[in-house]
Amino acid sequence: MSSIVRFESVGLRYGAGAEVLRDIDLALDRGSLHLLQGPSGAGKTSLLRLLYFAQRPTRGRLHMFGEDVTDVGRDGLPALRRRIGVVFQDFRLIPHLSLFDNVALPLRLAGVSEGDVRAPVEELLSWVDLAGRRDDLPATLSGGEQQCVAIARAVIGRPDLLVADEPTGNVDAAVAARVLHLFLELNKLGTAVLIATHDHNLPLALPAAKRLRLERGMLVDPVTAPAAPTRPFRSLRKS
Amino acid sequence: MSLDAVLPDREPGRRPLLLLIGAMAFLAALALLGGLALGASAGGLARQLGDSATIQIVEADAELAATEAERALALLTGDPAVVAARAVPRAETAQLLAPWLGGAADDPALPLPPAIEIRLAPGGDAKAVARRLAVVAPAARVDVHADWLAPVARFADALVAAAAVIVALTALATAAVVALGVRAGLDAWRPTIDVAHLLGAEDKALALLFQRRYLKAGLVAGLAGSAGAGLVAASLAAAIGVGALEGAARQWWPWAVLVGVPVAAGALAGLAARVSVRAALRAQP
Ligand SMILES: Nc1ncnc2c1ncn2[C@@H]1O[C@H](COP(=O)(O)OP(=O)(O)O)[C@@H](O)[C@H]1O
Ligand SMILES: [Mg+2]
Repeated sequence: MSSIVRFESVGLRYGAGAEVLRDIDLALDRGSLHLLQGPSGAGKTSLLRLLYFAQRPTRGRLHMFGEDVTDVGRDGLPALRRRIGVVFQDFRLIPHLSLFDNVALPLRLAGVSEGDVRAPVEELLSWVDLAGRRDDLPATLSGGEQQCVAIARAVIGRPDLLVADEPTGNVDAAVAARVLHLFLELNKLGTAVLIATHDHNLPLALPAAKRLRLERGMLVDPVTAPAAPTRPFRSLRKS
Repeated sequence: MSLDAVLPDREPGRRPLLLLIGAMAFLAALALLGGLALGASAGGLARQLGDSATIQIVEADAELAATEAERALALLTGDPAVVAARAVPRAETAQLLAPWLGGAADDPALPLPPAIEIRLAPGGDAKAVARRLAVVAPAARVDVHADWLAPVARFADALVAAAAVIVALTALATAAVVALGVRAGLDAWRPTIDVAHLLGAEDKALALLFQRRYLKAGLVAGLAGSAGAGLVAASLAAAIGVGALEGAARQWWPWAVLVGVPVAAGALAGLAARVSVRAALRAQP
């Protein structure tokens, strides 16, 4: 089986509320590149949260890496999470740690010995052009630079799957282009990438990506879905 | 570095927590020292006096009294339940009474009952001795020291039990304080801990981190509290007399208490932290 992720009739509700995700059937192949589109509130973040186990399906089955992980216990989560890189919408860098320590964190949490941490961290900081600021704290960086650190941290553990939530939502156009370029490079190295966005212009920047569309908690055909209003500027809305 | 640098060791409430654990260790060490000292001295007293008895010949006729005393001493010396028997010289009795009678105790005309001191054989039955005595010396009155020692021993036992309760309560309070501290720590670092979890941190690593920190806190605070209790106990012993202090210092158990309390405080704090972290994390989704 070449799918790295497979949803089978997955539903999700928060507490006693209505389902925010309904009947999701979806397979992501190893090394694939997907864009998850949809208006704000459609459930994109919720779907990503299922993938990094911040949330568990309330209905249906979720398979990852060839295993049914729907009911995996708390003790089984760290090993799974180490195979998934996450770029959070709000970065979630650890404010009291230097850039170096932030990027090194997944390796150290996985028990990689200190001697094997330095080289990959420095390599990734160079890759995102922040090698000179390795000892700075996240708060001293611009939003775009923080985004790059978040990406470096997400990929340091060589994940099989990278998910990014609105990675271009908080940065200017030049940084957005650079961020997308990083994702493309990673994808070429074999990492499956799933990017959630409400930015209608992103498909133009990533023509190679397969498109998924969420509307009111359901996956719809991105082609037959009502055309998005074309806008000359990227939306400034956050979702 | 691992988790240690991720969660700096400076959550709020650390100082009051150290103070509380220190106070608990102080109380526990003092209760243990007091309880053990009391137990030891009550035990010593029981060993010294528990097997002895005094026989008095309560007879107004001095001549008859002297005869009965002689017969009693002869019988007691041969009695299998008695290890040693000794007639208490009149001067000794007079000296014992001096505090009450003053100079009158030295008056040779003062009628003092003849007295015999005996030590019973292990398991020797004082009542049977008294029955045999009654045959040769009807005026003999047997006073078994263990009889009046019993209430003292019971009182000492009650104090030792109270000390044990104090130790148990301080242990409980220490565990509770650590559980509260762990909650505060987990809350203070919640966002960081959440991110660490999402990046693959294991619960057991987090539990180990808190265990190590609270073990250290328990050791340090326990050492301070124990040292304080040692000083207080030493000055109390010194108030009784230099001999009491030196005698206590020659025993092994005061030192065992002073070292054992910090070790126990550290172990207890570490264990309580581990259990609290595990419980708090298990309660999370
Ligand atoms: N923690 C939560 N508790 C309750 N409802 C939530 C929570 N997170 C999201 N929702 C709801 O779920 C729906 C989908 O939200 P979300 O997944 O954030 O959508 P998107 O990322 O596409 O904007 C929204 O209606 C939102 O209000
Ligand atoms: Mg969202």
